[in-house]
Amino acid sequence: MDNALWQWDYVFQLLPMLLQGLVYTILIAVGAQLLATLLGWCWVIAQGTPFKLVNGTSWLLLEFIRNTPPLIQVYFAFFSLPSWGIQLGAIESGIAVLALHSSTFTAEIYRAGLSAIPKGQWEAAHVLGLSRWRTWRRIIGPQVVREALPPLANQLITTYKETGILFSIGVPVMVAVAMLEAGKTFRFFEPFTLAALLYVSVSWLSTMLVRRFENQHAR
Amino acid sequence: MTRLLEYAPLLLSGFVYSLWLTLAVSAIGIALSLCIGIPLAMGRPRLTASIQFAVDLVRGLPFLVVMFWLYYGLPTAFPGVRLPAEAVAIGGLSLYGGCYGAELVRGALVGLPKGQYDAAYALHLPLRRRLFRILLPQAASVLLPRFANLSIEMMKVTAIVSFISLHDLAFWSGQVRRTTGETGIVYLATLVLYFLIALMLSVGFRSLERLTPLRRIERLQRSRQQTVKAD
Repeated sequence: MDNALWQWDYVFQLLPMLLQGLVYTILIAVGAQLLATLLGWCWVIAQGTPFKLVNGTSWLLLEFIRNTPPLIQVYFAFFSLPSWGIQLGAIESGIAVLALHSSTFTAEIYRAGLSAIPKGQWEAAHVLGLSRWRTWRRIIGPQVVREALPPLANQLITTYKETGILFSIGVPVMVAVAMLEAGKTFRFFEPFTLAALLYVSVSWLSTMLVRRFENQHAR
Repeated sequence: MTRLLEYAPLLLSGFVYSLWLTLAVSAIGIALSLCIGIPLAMGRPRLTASIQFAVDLVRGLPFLVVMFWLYYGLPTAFPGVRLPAEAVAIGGLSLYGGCYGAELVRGALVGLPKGQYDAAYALHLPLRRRLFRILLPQAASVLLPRFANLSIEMMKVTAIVSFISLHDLAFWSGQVRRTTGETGIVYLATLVLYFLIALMLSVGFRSLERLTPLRRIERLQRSRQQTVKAD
């Protein structure tokens, strides 16, 4: 009986711990993505400034962060930055890196939203004598946000799926819990099957919600 | 710093391995994405629904979990089944890329002007010729830039195969960090090397894109306009 394929006792013992890991995973993903929605605007603003130097550096930095593995970025933030005097805990560096990585994609979402706005709106706002701030606040901003919401939600799901890598620096995300528990009993099948099921159910549920939201907006 | 130079060959061997893995996984993944994406775009409703279900299942999972499940989970449940780490990495990642790419292929095919489908159908072309002579060549110029992004995404994911003891760039950077203690520079160099792979991929796919019929026609038209202007 000990070698049974699937032991329910073990499963029920694991479930609460894995659920806790799942909650942790979701919290980290949401925190990182909230930061990324703000950071994304920083990229857009940096690219929009008239200074060539700022444009160039921010562009290079953005491409660099977007096109390198987040895992190595996590290592860099956690292991390398302390040697230059920046000490970050595992969770802080994890959230910071995920946020930064996601922000490069968020910036792209904003840019797409901005370019979808016809030029006439800027001109009309100008002719009406609206200040730059009010044009952004009242006319451009709301449209971009509405356009950007579904892709932002999808980006949150992407970030959520990426949080697993944080187990490598000891953040107790769900994968880390599964690994730890499996290491105690040497039964890897149940923990990872459960982790996969939990992962997929949350991402499915959220994907479904985003799709419904999109459809409602399309109508 | 000089000690780091001693260890540079290790990092380079990791770089070569990561590059090789990325290329292999991208090639198989793109081939798979065509195999999944074409029926997804053109199949009957019941077929597409079941394919969509499978694709969504894979897309909903992080590759890390799938990799651990295949590498550590399967052998404990079925003692006979022990997949080699390389098979897990290449097979799993290709399947992954296939499912993500299938969505791109479907989008590109559905996005073609409807007249192209109707015309090919009216000319009574068999399915294979409709696909390979009419639809796919046109979709190619839309698809290749997206495939470039897909392969870069896959390159980013390859970094985690170091967790199942494959000796890629991420693995060697960890080893070099532990032996030299040069933490800052090692990871910076690793990031630069990964970025180099991304650059190579994006340049490679861009030159492939130039070969597609639509881009060739564009170039031809441009050169004609120039000769007209010169006259």
